[in-house]
Amino acid sequence: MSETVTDTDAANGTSDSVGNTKPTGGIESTTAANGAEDATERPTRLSTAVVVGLTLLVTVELVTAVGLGQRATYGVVGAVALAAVLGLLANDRLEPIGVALVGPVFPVVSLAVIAGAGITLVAQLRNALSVGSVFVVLGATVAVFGATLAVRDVLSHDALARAVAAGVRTTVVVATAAVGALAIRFGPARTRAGPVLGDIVTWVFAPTAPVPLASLLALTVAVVSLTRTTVVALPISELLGDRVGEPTRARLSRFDRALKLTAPLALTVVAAAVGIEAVATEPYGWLPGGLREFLGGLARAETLRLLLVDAVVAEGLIVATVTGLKRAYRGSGRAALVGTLPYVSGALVVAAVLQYREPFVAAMIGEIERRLPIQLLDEFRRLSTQAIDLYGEAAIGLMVVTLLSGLTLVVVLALFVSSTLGVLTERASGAGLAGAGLCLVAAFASTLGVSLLVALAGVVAAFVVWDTGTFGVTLGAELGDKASTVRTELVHGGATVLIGAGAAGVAIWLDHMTGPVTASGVPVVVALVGAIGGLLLLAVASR
Amino acid sequence: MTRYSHHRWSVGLAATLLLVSVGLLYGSSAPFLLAVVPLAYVAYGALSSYPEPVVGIERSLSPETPTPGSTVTVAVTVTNDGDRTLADARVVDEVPDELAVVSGTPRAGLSIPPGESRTFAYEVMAKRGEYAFGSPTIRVRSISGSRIVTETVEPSGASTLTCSTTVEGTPLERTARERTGTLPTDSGGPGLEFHSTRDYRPGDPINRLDWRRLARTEELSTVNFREERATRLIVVLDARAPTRIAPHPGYPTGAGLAAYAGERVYEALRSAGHQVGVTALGLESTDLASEGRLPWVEPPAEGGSTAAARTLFEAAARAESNASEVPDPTQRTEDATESAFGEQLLARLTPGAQVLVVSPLLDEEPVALTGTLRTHGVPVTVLSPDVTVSDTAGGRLAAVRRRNAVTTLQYRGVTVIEWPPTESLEVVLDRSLPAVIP
Repeated sequence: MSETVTDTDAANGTSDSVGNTKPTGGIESTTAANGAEDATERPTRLSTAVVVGLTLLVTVELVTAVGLGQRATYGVVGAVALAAVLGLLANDRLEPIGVALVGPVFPVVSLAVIAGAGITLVAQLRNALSVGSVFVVLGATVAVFGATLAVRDVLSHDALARAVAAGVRTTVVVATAAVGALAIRFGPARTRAGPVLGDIVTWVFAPTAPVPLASLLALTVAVVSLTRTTVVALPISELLGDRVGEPTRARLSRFDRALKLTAPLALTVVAAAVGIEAVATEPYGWLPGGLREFLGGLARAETLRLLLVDAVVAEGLIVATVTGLKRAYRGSGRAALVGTLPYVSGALVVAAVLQYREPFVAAMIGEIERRLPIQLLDEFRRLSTQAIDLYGEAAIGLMVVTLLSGLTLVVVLALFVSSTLGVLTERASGAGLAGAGLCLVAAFASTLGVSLLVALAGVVAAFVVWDTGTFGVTLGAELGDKASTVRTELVHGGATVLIGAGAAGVAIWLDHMTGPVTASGVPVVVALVGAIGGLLLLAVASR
Repeated sequence: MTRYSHHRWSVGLAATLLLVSVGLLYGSSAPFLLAVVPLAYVAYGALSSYPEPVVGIERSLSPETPTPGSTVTVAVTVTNDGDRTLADARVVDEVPDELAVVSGTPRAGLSIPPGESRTFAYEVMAKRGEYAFGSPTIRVRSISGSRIVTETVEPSGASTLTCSTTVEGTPLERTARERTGTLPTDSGGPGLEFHSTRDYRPGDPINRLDWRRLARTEELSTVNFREERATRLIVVLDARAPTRIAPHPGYPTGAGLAAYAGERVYEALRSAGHQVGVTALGLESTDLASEGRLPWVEPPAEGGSTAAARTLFEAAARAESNASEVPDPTQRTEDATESAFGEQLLARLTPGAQVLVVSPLLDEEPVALTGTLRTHGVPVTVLSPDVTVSDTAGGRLAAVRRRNAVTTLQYRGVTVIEWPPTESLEVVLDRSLPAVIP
């Protein structure tokens, strides 16, 4: 019997560098070709219920106890929205819906978190709230975010990569629209593009020159070129099949070759005509009078020009449609959809902002004014009025949405980088975040006057949530969701709760023994040194 | 045995650090007291010891010798022979890759007190042949989950699933006529049942003289009875590439079920005294055939051996599938009118022979073959195992195409015996064979 002793790193669960390996065998995976194992690696139902239920219960209890329920609710709404989008992105079947939702949801997530944590921070800075309140709100947000992600353990590297890709595309669309709005607002585009566009329209449809051959030739060359492209793009050859004989095919091939060879000549002629009309004082004066008049009449014929422009537009649409259909048929339609949806989603967000720019900006300014100290109100009003006058509601609205979307993107990017670096483990990261958030809430809530018993319950719950979540994930991965695991989970979870309850009992006993301790007292220094020393010893011992 | 230590509770150190820092920052004693909890968990993980699993595993199969297409219940009993409770024992039975688990799971999470046993069960789909189960793997965690021991346990009890094709009951024996091995014909001659009378010819046996007529008219005449001959049946197995499809991974293929059904019919008829031969489509390139012709086993009276027939059935059942040869169910094929195998088959058939085509009817070829045989006056019956499924769009399309083939055959007057996956072949044959083999 061979025996291998393996030691793993506590943080990421990977093998250590000694060369030992994790045990292998049929228990490692639940996927097999013959269906002997389950194809999914979901956490068990009981563990999911414990993580979600306990996290919500303890979070609500703690934030309510410190009077931050409403502020935390804002952040929680944003966290749930982001987790839901990540959940959709983690599911291959629902990925397109997730990608489509990235555009509208990303700004809402930031807005919700700012409404919760940002406003709490402002209130904290104004001394309206105790120091540490913002961490309670942030902790509650993180806890609920993790609990929501733990439902199917969806915080995977792939899901984060998809969220980053979709978020970047959507944000770029909104940012581009914001830049466009600023450009229009500040003139260069509006003052210069208008006359240029006007000149082009005049050159094409109503030329003023006596013999406007250049524009007519350019339109003719464009129509011929697009006609050839359209014929090539359409599946005419496939439809006709053998009905076109070999001699006809050869003739058509020769004609096509000749057309391609004459293309440079045609372009040269067009360029020469443009040059002549631009430079010469009396263009085409060297032509015989009758011919010049005939050419002038032909070139100025508005109907002919409209016909050519219509042909260009129609053929352009046909080519674009046929090419798009061919690409969709040959490639994966789903990939094309997922690649396109973020842009569409971003465009819809831009359209919504432009449509409701005035109420959006007014509501935003109103909310800020409502929370500002009275002494800053006048100054803010003056500045906001100046900004609106300078940039306009559209540009301000788009810039704000870009900023909000970018903020959520930064958070998702941070999670993605953490996942890439192995800081965020692939499995049970939702339960880990929920536990960390709960611990943060309990730690800061204890400084805000929450009773020791409630705070201890929060810390114990944080460990129970984390332990049950990670345990449920390993059970799901090793046994699948068909195996009965409730008894095992109850035994394991019961032991964890008992340890926590015992530790909480010891803490309460210590509290009774020591009584209220002040930070300035000598015993505190001794306790601190002892605690830190013990901590270091434990860290060394665990290695 | 593999031992594995996972310092999962060390996250308590990070939590302790956070709480101590908050306590220091805010000058509050509460976070220090809270730090007792994570420290307790760190100690809990550190003090946890490796479990010492002493387990016995027993596996049992029910039924022990199943027939192809039937389900087998595998029960695994894990006994804790040690003196400590196994709080978290995860057991995975090693199912042969070829067998599909159709119900339950071969994985279980168990908590077993010392001296007690826990049993879990699952069902697999039986396929023709012998399949050896591997040794189950058991992974035991300490109650804290930070010490893990994994080992493979040699189980007692059943270790091999043997899927038998032996015929336990011959349905024909219960349904056949009193005199077995006979097939009544429309031609007159010696026999039992009156058929007709004719003028006496010199040399006619005296016991066939119509004495009553002689007494009445004083004219000699001879009585003809319905002539009876031994049944000569050729079982045609369809084992071509398109039939080598299984409804799900690990399930028997259409060719495998056709071979099993063909073998059962062969055994039943042979034991009932009929003359039965076998041939198989799709095995022309194997050693069983010569020069690309159909492999052929003559009826016993003409030199064919039962062993050769069984070899042919084995080869058909084990014909390997090739994905490139499987027709795309979404591609519509032209209705085949000429069978590629019809001419070869007709050349080998003797007059009066019947043909039983055993095919899952997944393409047009069996329909075309049946048409060719019937055109030449050969009585044909089709026995068709159903391997189509309805849980995918392609499966539903294949089922519709099979249904069309069955309808076409029935429209042409061919008796089609369908073997649905939910029914035992014995029941199907018991019900349908009398209509085919009198």
